[in-house]
Amino acid sequence: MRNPYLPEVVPIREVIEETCDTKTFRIATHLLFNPGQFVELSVFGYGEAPISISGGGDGYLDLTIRAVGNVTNRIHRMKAGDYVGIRGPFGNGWPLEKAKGKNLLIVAGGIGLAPLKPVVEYVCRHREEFKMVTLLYGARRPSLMLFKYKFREWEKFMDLLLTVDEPEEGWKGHVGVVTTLCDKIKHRSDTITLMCGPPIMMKYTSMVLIELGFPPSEIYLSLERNMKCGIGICGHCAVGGVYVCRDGPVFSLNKALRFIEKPHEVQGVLD
Amino acid sequence: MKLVKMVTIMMLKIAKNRINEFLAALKEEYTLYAPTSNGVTKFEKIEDLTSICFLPNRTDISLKSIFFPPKQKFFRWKRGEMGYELEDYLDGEEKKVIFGARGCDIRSLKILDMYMRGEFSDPYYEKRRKNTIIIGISCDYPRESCFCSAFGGMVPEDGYDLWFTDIGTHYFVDVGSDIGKELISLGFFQEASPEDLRKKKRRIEKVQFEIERRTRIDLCEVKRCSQEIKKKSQDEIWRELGEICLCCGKCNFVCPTCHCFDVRDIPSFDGSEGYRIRVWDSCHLYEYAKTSAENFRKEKHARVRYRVYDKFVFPVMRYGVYACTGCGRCTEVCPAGINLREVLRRLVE
Amino acid sequence: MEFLNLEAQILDLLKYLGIKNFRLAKEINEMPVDIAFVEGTPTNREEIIKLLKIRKGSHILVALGSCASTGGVPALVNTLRKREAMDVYDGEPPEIPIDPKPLDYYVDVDYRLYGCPFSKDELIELITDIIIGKNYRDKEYSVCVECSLRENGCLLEQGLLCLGPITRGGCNALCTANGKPCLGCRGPYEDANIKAHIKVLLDMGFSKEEVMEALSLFSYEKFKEVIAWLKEE
Repeated sequence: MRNPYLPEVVPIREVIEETCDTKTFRIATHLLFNPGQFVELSVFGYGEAPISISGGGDGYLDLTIRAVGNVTNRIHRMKAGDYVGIRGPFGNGWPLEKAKGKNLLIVAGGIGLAPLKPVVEYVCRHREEFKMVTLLYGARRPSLMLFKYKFREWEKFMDLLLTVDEPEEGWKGHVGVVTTLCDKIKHRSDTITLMCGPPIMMKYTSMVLIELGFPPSEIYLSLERNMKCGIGICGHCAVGGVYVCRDGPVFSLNKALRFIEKPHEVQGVLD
Repeated sequence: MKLVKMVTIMMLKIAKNRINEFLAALKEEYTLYAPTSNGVTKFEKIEDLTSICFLPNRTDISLKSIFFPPKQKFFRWKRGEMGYELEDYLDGEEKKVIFGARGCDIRSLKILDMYMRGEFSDPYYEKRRKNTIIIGISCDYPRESCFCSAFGGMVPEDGYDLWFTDIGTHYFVDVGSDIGKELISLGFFQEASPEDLRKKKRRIEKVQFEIERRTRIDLCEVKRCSQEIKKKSQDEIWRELGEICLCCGKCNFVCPTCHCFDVRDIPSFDGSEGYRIRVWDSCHLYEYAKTSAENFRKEKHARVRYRVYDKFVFPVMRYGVYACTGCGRCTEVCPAGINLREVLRRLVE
Repeated sequence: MEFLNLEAQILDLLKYLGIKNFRLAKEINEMPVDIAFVEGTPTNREEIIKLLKIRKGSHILVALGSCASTGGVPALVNTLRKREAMDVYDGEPPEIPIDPKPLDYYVDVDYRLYGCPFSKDELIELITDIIIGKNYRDKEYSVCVECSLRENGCLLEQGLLCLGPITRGGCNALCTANGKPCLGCRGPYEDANIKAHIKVLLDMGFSKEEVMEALSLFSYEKFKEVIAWLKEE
């Protein structure tokens, strides 16, 4: 029996600078994953942190990480060839199968684009499987937007709606929170929505989407919790009777609203 | 083999004055754990048989820590040629016998099994669990805080290897497993009469009755508390408890079914080596549900509520059982005097 | 002095750090330094100037022990009127006294090692974290946590005035494990439910004065408001 707490020691293959506080680490590993899953990343001596997988390919995984805590700050000082540990992948991932043959709305805020990037890339590769596709992405400032270098390619396959809270010089796009873009979405019915971002953004976007007529059972949220073990034993990620690490991190809004202990992400929605 | 089968059909008992002989025989092959008293009563490794305490009811500290120690080393890492070398600390080889487990203890192990030996198994717990023989014993009378009859009762249906019940000069013995069958072939046991069986039944009924009398809790009410709690939001109760709760976490640590842990790295001065450990954690602590983005249970009342939900609502939804054994330890240690029985009563009212 | 008690680890530690300035253990002392550990708290103006100089001459300033991190026992004098305090010295104090405050009242403090004495384990943790560049965080839980991990019996249950539930952990429950109630030398942690604990103590039969005395012993500066509230009640 394999010990689920022992990480696999793997080297960093490449470090890609994204923004001033975010980098993508290409980790050499053969782990396979579904879009929306996460790994537990160990930096030995600093601890472990749950990190969503932002891409992958032959023999590598991409982890897009913002420097906020001990583990993430430390990995930001690491370079190609340094070693980290990973366990996983954990979690259920986005319900892509359900979205096939339907319209797809992807809503991301800030670093929340990272777990959705595999979905966007899947859409680019298999565009014919979906009807209309919209990506709605909001960031605090234009310079903090992730994967800008990919936008031109993505635009060919989907409607790309971008917004920032605070404009900077040279920004010609929309200004305002993500919800202010919602009425620009061209499709309403028959749409699966995948959403990830800060709790407050998910809450207000859910409210606006419901008002616009998107049914709560077709809106999916990815929750972030303090996941220590990733396998539903340590208890930290439990909310409303589910383990976010094992049963989630993706839940339909409908389900999240029925949790007896309402997650912060949906508190106040439909009240 | 034939002999063993015959023995199980017979009813058995062991003379009280032969208990020590029996334990000494076990001690030769296994490490023996039994209740001791040193200010607090808890299960400890027994070197000298005279240090065993024959208590009338459960110990202050549950036997959780034998299977799930407060601090557990996961592995050691060392920087090497190819990144890091990991050395697993998977221990728990020790073959143990636990003597003197109570009904609530055995039930708590069943609940822990549900959490830690489910779809994903915790290897550290699993190994200890596999290597342990459990000899249980019925309580003589309940403690003030006991209410086990609400959650499974004083005598468990299974989960033990041998079960003893005091019937005067002897203990009546129930066999609960194949290992138990092997143990009774050791020769310390004798046939019990139908009269002994009657004595045992009377004894257990008496204690059960005593528990129910003391708890003054309607068992049917408790059984539906999961439904009741779900129905109403009961914000005033939580707010009130949140105000008096010190959030010290003691109820979690003494709870035989609480299994939360935190994972920490302990590096050497230069970080080139070190080990990763897990330490018991408590859902009452401020940083329990904190992430880089937000603390999801900042308010004390949310934490108090979460604990009650996590014992009486969530496991019922997920596994169909209550994650409470009714041992009453949390009530006993709470410095703020929060009585779980009272809380349940108020919730179902 | 607890530094010198590190014994086994101090030689290992000296591989990574040099001690530049240590009045009690060294003859030649230099400034500036990378890490300054300051024990105690200023009780007169000269000492404040000295503290400011240390702050200027160090990258990291660590408040070491109770007095430096919470005001400690010296702050007990703040419970008295100045004149009463002067009486101790027959009305003639050696220097003009000021109210003892925690160090962070005067300067920016990077890290605090609470406790009287502070914990050796925490000191090692802090130094390790500084060397490997990890963020050392204050413990945000009570002494009860560590006391429970050691599976001790509860001293409150035995009727002792224990401040464990509101006192910051990190000491590994040294006192309570040895049967001595927690005096609160590490001060309260952020989330502590102080008022609820006061109520518990009053319900146990302790008088307001006893509770106030216990609270002011080590952390008067931190408990000031609660003590004032308790007086009003």
